[in-house]
Formats: sequence, structure tokens, C-alpha cells
Amino acid sequence: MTPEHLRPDSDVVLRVQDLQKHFPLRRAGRHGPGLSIKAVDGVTFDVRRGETIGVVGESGCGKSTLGRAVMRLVEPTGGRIELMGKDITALSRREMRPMRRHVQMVFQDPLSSLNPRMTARQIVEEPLHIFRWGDRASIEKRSAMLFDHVGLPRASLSKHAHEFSGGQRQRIAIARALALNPSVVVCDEAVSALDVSIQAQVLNLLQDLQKELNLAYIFITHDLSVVEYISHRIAVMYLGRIVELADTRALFDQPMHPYTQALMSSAPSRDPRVLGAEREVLAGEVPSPISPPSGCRFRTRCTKAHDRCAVTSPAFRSVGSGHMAACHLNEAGDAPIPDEVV
Amino acid sequence: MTRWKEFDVKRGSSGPLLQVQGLEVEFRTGGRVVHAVNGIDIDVRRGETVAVLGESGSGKSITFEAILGTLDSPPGHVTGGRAEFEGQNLFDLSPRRRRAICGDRIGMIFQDPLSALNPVYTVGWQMAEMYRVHRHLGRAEARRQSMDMLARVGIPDVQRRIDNYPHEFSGGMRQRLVIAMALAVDPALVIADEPTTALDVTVEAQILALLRDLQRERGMGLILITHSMAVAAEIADRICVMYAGQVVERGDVRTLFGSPAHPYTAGLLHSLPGVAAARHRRLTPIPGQPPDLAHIPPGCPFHPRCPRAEARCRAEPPALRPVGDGQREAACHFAEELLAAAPTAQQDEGHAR
Amino acid sequence: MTDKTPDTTASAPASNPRRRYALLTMLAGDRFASAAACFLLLLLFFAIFGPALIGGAEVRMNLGMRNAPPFSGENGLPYLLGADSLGRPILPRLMVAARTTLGISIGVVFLAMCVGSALGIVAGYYGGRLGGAIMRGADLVMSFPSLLLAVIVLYVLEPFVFNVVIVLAITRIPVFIRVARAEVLEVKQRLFVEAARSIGAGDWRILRLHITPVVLPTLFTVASLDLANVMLAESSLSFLGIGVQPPGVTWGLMVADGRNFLTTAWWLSFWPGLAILLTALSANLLSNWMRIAMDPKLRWRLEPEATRSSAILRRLFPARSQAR
Repeated sequence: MTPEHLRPDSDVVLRVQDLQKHFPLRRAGRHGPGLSIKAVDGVTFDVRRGETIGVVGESGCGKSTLGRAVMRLVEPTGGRIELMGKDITALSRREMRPMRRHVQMVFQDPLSSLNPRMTARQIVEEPLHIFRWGDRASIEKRSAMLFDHVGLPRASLSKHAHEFSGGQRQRIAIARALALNPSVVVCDEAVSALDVSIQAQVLNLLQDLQKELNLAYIFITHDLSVVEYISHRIAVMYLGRIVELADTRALFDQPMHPYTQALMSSAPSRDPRVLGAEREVLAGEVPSPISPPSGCRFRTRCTKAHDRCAVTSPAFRSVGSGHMAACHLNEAGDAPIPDEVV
Repeated sequence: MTRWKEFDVKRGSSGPLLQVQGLEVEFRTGGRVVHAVNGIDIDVRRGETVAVLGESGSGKSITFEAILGTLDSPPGHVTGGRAEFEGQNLFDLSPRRRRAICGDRIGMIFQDPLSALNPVYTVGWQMAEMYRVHRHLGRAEARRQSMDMLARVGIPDVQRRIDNYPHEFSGGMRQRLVIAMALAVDPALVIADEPTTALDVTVEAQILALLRDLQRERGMGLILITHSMAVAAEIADRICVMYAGQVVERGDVRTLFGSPAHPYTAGLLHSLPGVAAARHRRLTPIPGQPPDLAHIPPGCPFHPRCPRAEARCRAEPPALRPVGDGQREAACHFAEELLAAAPTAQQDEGHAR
Repeated sequence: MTDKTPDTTASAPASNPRRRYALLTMLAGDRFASAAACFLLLLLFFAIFGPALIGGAEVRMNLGMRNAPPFSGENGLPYLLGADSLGRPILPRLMVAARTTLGISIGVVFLAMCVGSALGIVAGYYGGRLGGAIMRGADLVMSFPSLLLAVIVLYVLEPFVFNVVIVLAITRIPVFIRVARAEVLEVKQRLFVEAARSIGAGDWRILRLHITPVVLPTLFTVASLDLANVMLAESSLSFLGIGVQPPGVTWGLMVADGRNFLTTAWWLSFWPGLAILLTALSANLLSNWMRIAMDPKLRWRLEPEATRSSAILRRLFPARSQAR
């Protein structure tokens, strides 16, 4: 596998720049300050053809909002999204519709993301009808092909979603997402609700489809081992910002941001056969995204925080080839992170 | 209360605290029978943590609902087996007596802490109620003990927060509240059903550490029902792997994960993305779907998904029997062959963290 | 599986007759629902063919038979249920009144449901100022006593059947607006609506394919409940003399006419009252059954036993959901 960051720029299918999504809250009284939940607060990354970029973080870090903002399912309040070289940030709903064929989504809960009153065939064929794929026959041919692709028996085409098992439902959702030959698929916790043995089947399916169709995935999850398995690059999010972005191996071998380090050491052992490695416990909980801490947002839980962290927000900067992190400790002149915490 | 304590002392701690034998649970609806639990043996000793590991539909939660008498009945029925807790078969007791034991001697921790807490009462009131009902303490004393307990499970600023309502706490804090309530009256056994599934990893680590500390401190038996092998490996002494309402393998955690003797356990390990990623390998999932519990395959229930299945597996149900060095039991005709062929965990240990 | 397998031929048009047949078997399996369906069919038959069959017996006065009691036997079939204060036979009158009563009440409910649901769905889906305006309008109509509204309008206009229908429909519209809006607000939040938007479905498509089919069964249930209300409202209008005018006859009018004789001849009001009750009950039972039969998720409850177990299983062992 060639290192992803060495690929030419022309391969970029999705570029996100300084993306913001603030959900306004009702004002406290007539003259109260206009508060807002800063779900996504300045996120920058790009996605290249055929790569998987994992987005990982705790609940409330804004990773799901990021995925939905990229899909334009929520309106970004700032920044810029470029899909296939075209700025889609300001497109109206009508103008956005033709662009939707390039970017599709697979949701966490397959049962609630499938209309209970539609059959599997109707669900998979819906995007084809919307985009006038062709006549009845060619649509039927395509849906049958999609069913083969995701490994569902054609005999089950006329069943309803609730008649399938969890893994099969997610296959239907994947077939629907692939119907229009998208370049980017946003997977929002797409395997989190599945049992381990079924999760493995779906992960393999996603990988096979990626190779076959040269898909790019934005893989949003809270599960470190899933994200490590499927991603080429990983973005770690904390309170609406990416704190670290790197190739998977680089991130796992040498995490540069204290939060990434903490996340990894508090995650359960990835191999249950390795016992005795007790988890390090990261104290405290995620602060409120309504009024995040000043300066570095992680400083309230960071063991290495110093005075400066409360004052200036660390820049998101390169700390190695293709390795970005936002921490004062990595800036020139500061001592490198001691080895024992890795 | 004191009567129970004396009872404990007399019995000594040699025998198992809870011993489940041949438990069978069926769900009957409209003439159809769903076999949710099919002859399960589980035992827990004092001061021991047993993880019951299984995927959805394996019957792991139903088993303990049946034991605690919280099964929806109808349609659920216990059709066989016994569950001996401190020397009494729980199924022989009157419902009222069983409820008394379950509240007093057995604590429960659920996946969703919010549903286990009453939204209209303050946390302090609900905690105090435990002491007042089970220990017959006065108002002031109950409140004092509640504060101690809440402080013990790591609720910060107890003085102030004791009068808050459950919704004013975060998910992790709510789970701490539930743990405090479950452990308030010093139960001999705690059953935790997916206690960390709804929590973030960093919070999960905190809660598991808390559970482990409390368990060591109080010497209680802990049953952890979970789907996560990582959680089971982290906290359990012994593990029971369930499939289609049966125990397919059980034993010491190190032995069981180190060299699984049942193809299902091995399949689960090979389905873990963390293991595959660490060794740059592709996942080898278990093929197929979990069985329909109304039509469990004859013979070994796992045979349609098993790479090793032979004619014998389709005809003859394998019994749970001791395998290898006697540290574990497995229900597979080919357990010995599987053990002989498997690589040991030590070979991979360097990679995996 | 090869490409030549005929699996794909089981497409929508081919499965339709089969489904209709399945619906009938399901209906036959439910005793209450099939009884209700039979009663309503019978009623429909009388409403359509009754007047022709009876040939004017309902207006023939026979003063000798004034307030004749029911089941007296010697008076013949038309007088089986007795006669009213002018000696007209009740049974034929009931049959003829079925046409006007059903016509008015079904017309009112249908009109109110169409207009109210459409407004409610729009209010729920788009919200904002438009939604606010619709809801304020509904509040306005609802806070105005509906009978008073009807009285005013029908005094000003002529009490034609058509006007009665319009006025009654207006008073029932807010019910449907509120129910439809509440349902849409809930369905709108579901993930499959967002999924539809993510594949590029426009508002019209989402409303038509994803929201309305999910909301409709509830609205049908409300409509069937409302049927009885409308029948009674119509009888109040008739009682005040601004509803259907004699010699036209409705059940409500018959109840009203009999009110003066309640102590001496209870059957005058009882039979038409019973007819109203049975019709409303039947409509209710049938709509309840339909709500289940039309829902693919609940349909198994009505199906023969063989297919049930898997559905029960799914209810017992839902996939673990991780609340995140």
C-alpha cells in the first residue's frame, strides 16, 4: 500500500476547510448572551479517492455532526466543503441534489434508517428512481446486482426491513448507499450496533467494496479497534476539533497529542488474550460544548497542561510527514513528549 | 438481616454462592416454542468475577432474568433446572420471598442507568430508601450512609449533589449512582448486565476500575453479562461463553482466550478487528447468521457456521466436558484437535498492545 | 444463484392479487373485524338499494299504529321494530335514513380528513410561520363552539345537505390537523427520513413516500372515531331544525324525534341510537384491524401461526442498541 499522503492532490474527492456547525440555543432572557453548542468548531481535512479516513472520539465530540454536515444534512455555520472539486457549502437544497450522488451515507442503526413500510427492493431502488437511472428493467437489473454485491440473496428482495437480521439490514443500507456509484461514503457508527461476528462480516464487505469500486470512506466511530482495522488515516476529535490526524500506523505507534494517548491507554486491550495490561484511567468527563475551556480544549483533563495551554489555543500543525497535531508540547522549543506515556 | 449473616458464616465460603444447573427457559406464543435457554450450568463463588459472554440472542440476559424472577411471564417459562443461591433453590421460593432475597442479597446493575433510576426523586432519597427498606434505618442515619456510599463510588461534592435528580448527572455518573444503589446493602452477589455498553471508553475504564475495586474490597461474587471480549478479559476471573442458549465453553480467562477449545470462541477472537489490525491480517468472520431459536439445528447448534463441522456434529449434540488440563470445559466433539492445532497467545503478545 | 432464477419476477404487480387474498384470509381470522366488515357491508347495501326496495313504506303514515311497540308480531315485517309517533314503520325508516346518515357523516369525515391531514402534514413538516399560521387557525376554529358556528352559518345559509356537510367538516378539521402534525413531527425525526434526504429525495417525495404512509393509519383510526361524533353532531343540528329537513330522515333526526316519547315509547330513539352505536363500533373495530394489517411490522399478529415465531423472536431479542 502506498502511503496515502504521497498521492497526488488531484485525487482529493472531498475537502473540508475550517468547517463549523454551531447549534444556537434559546437566549437566556431578552438580553441574555446568544449561546450555542459548538458541535463542530473549525475542522479541516481532505479525503482522497479510495482511502478510508477514520474519525474517532468520545460521544459529544462532534464526529456525527461532522458527518451530517459533510452530507449537508445539517447546514454548516462556517467554513467550506468541496466535493469533487465543487464548493457545495452554499448550494441550495435544489442545487445540492445532483451532488448527492457523489456522497452517500450509512447510518448506525440499520433498522431505523430503513423505512419500515418499504421492501428491501424499494429501499435499494429509491435512489435510482430519484436520479432517473433508467427504465424499469435497467433499475431492476441494477438492484439485483447490488444485492449480489452486498451478499444478500435475491430471493429476499421483497421482504421488509424488519424481517432481516441486523447484519443483513446493514447490507441493505450499504446497497442503497452504493446504488448511485458514489465516490465518498460516510459511515456513521455503521458497525457499532452489530454483534462481533456480524461486525467482522460487514467490515470485510466494506473493504472489498472499497477495493472494487475505489470508494473513499469517512468512517465515524467510537471504537478504536474498528477504526484501526479499517482506516488508512485517522482523525481524533475532541470537543468539536480535530486534535490529531495521521496515518493509522503512525497514530497508533506514536500518538503525539495527550488526548490520543489517553484515549488509547484507556481503551480496552485490543486483544483479549493479552491480560494484566490494566487500562490507564483518564479522569473526568468531556466539558460542555456550550462553553468549552479557553485555550486548548483538552487542558482540563490533560496531565501535562501548563499555564500557556489556558491562554492560547494550540495550532493544528505538522509534526511529521502527514502527521498533524494540535498541542503546545509539540511546538518547536518545547520538550518532546516523554516516552513513558506512549 | 442478621439472620442472613449468621447463615453465611455457618455455610462457610467453600461452596458456590450461586449455582445454576440445567436451566431451561422457553417462550411460548401462539403454539410456537422459542428455546431461549437450553440447559445452562453456571456457578459463582464468593470473591470471584464470572463473565457471561455472548452475542444478542444467546440467552445471556434471559438466564439471569429467569434466576431473578424478572422474566416476562407469559410468554417466558422456566421449564427445568435449579438455581441455588446460598443453599436455597430460588425456583422453590415464593415470589415474595425471592424478591426479598434478590433486593437484599443480590444487587443488579443495568445497561441503561437512567431507566434504573426514578426521575421524580432525588438521588439521596432513592439511596436512603434502600437503607430504610432493607436495613430499617432512620432518616438521618440512612442519609449519612447514603453519603458515604456515594462518596465511595466517586460522586464528587456529595454534600451538594445528593439532593440532585438523576437527569442532572452525566451518563458515567449515573452508572456510578446505580452501582452505589446496587451495593448499598452489601449484597453477596452482584449481577451487572452490560454495565458499560452505553458509555464512552474513557468512562468505561473508570466504571470497570470502580467495579473491580469494590468487588475486591467487599469480597462479593460478581457476574458480568457482556458482549465484549475486551471487557470480559479485563475484569473476569472465569468466563462462560454462550451460544444459542447453551454454554459452549467455560473456564479460566487466561486459558480460554489464550487457546480456545471451541470453534465459536475461536471464531469470535478472529472476528475482533483489534487483533486483526495489530497483526495486519484480514478479519476471518464467522460465516452465516445466528440460529433461529425456534428451530435450533439438531446436533451441535453451531454446526451450520462451523468450519470444522462433520457428520457427527449434525447428529450428536456435544456435551460440556473437561478438556485439556482441566482448567476449562468445552462443548465440542473436536475440542482436543482444536487445542492441539491452535497457536498460543504468547506468540502474539508482543504485538497486541 | 444464477442470473436466470425467476426471483426478480416477484415484483410489485405480480404480488398484488396475492396480497389481497392474504388480507381476506387475515380478515376471516379475526372474528370481530369480520363481523364489523359484514355489518358495514350490509349497511352499505341498504344505503344504496334500500330506498328502491322499500318503495316509500317509510313515509306511509298509519295513525292507528302510532307508537306501536316492537316485536308485536301481527303487524308484519315493516313494523317489526315498531312505529313512530306518526305511525310510520321504524325498520324501513332506519334503512332509508342509513343513506343520508352515512352519506353525510362519511362525507364530513372524508372532507375533514383530507383537508385537515394535508394542512397538518404541511404544518408539521415545514413548521415555521406557515405551520404557526395553520395551527393558530386550527386553535381558532376549535375554541369557537362548533354547534354555535353551525347554527349561525346554517341560519344565514339554507340548511341544505351540502351546507350541513361543509359546516360540520369545518368543525372537525382541527382534530385532524393536530393529530397529523403531531405524528409528522415524530416521524420527521426518524432516521429513515434523514436517510431519504441523504440519497437526494426532495420534500415532495419524502412527504409522499416516507411520511404520509406512516402517518395515515393513525389518521384513519381518528377518522373512524370521529364518525360517531359527526353522526351525533348532525342529530343535534336536526334537533334544532337546521339539519336535514323532513321529509328527509337521518338516524340523528329519528333520535331527536323520539326524545319526547322516551318514557312511553323508548323504541323510537333506541333503534336509531343503536344503529349509530353499531356503525361507530364497527368502523372502529375495522380501522383498528386495518391499522395492524397495513403495518408490515405488526401484520404477523394476524397471520397464521406458522410464520409467527420469527417475529416473536425479533421482539424478544432485539439487536443491542448502543445509545450514543
